[in-house]
Amino acid sequence: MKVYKYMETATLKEDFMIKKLLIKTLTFMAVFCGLCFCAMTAHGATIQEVVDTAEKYGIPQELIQQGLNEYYSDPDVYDEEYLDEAVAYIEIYHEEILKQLLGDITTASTAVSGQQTTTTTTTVTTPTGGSNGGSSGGSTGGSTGGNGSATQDPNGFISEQEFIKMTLEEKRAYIASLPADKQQIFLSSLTAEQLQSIVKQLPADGKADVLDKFVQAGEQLGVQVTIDEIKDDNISMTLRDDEGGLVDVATVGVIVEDTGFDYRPIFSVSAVMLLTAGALLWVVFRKMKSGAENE
Amino acid sequence: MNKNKKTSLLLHIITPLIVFLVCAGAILLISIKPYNKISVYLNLAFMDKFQTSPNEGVAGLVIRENDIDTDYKGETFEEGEIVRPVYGEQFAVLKSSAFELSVPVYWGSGRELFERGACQASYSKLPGDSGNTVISAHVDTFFAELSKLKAGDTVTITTTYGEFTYEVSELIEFKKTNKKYVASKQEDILTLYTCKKDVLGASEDRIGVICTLTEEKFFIEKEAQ
Repeated sequence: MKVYKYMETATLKEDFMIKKLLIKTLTFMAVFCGLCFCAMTAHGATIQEVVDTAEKYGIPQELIQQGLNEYYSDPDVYDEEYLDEAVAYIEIYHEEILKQLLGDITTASTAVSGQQTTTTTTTVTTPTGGSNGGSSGGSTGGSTGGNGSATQDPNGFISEQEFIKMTLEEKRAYIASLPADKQQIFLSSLTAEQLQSIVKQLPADGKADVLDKFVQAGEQLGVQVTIDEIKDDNISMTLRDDEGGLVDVATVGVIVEDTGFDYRPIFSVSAVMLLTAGALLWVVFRKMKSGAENE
Repeated sequence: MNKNKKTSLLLHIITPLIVFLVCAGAILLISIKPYNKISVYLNLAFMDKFQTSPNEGVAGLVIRENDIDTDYKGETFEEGEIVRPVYGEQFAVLKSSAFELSVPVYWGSGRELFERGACQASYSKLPGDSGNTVISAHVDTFFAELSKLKAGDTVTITTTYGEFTYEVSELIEFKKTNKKYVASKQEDILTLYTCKKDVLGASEDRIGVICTLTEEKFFIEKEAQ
């Protein structure tokens, strides 16, 4: 009996030991998995991720390339933390564009006429949580863009080109016309070209805010960005290295170059010369004629 | 008598002035075309290694010219390294079966560069990279004969890092405001364009060609990653 009791105690002890071991193992595995997960999620961005983010949000290729040149000149200087910050700056730039776009969206929604949805009181939740800073959306009325007749994607959004062709007010009106859940999907699916078209259409103060974030993102990529010219359809900027040397000239979006000389000034000068000669000739003839008549 | 003297004096002063004005006006008009032609050849003949133009256009622009070997006989590779040029650098020479001129191609754009050759927009893809390579030049100088190109003609771009042969597949005409042809593309194509000839010089219309890549040879082998 005693032996049995002893054996029973031994079995219980063994069970307890196994349980303890099992709990320890499971705890260790849980902690290990947790650490692995943290390490995986907290890993710094790679240079490719920075490039992908920049391309996705419409950062000009010139700036991306210069950023790459800067990185590859001394990759050790730009650690993961630095690249994380670069991604963050690019995202801030992207958020600023959306903030400017959605600034006055509730009033813009009234401009929608004849579009399929009826969400006129929608307040769009901007990814930044901010609003305003852009121009008043203004109701332009008679918006014709975005009727969705062209090639549509599975969500029923208008095509990329149609969105690009819209005016800023039409863009705002279109977004406001989307149901709240679709707005977020649409905003996150905006392509680089669509984002660039928004930047180009923003009013001066909105452009300035966006470009300020752009310059900051450029600096994080190791390039000094100077905005040279802001036109309605184009923004040009020079990219310089740390010593101020010119490394590239970039534009937001693509441009068609002026590939012809303007000869109008030359034609004007030439015409003035010939006309003056003609006038003088006329004066001389008149003088000669009057002289002959007097004689 | 006195009046006759006055008229005679007027004639003596005005007649040379009229002759001068007529001649100067006419010379100005008829010299535009020869001047453009001469300036092309002068630019090609007096290419410098480094030219700076700090007082005009883009501040700090350094124009660099390279000796590009258009008759490269060394080893070539199907895949290779693309060497991204510096802004203002002449990195390629463009030749075509339709015209005799070898056009220097600069990376970037702007008045200073257009005076020296064709320019590749730095937002477009370099030859050898996948996408749309966009090159333009003045209609009166380096791309004066671009309109001679027709479907099937070959265009060769020899760069500092490789030689790329294209075949003209489409003739295009578009407005300056139409960005369709200069935008980025998935296909490996070369887009060449210039102004449509106009009496007043600058035109809002553009003409050009789209060429498809037929052969690429790299001078530097791609390093294994």
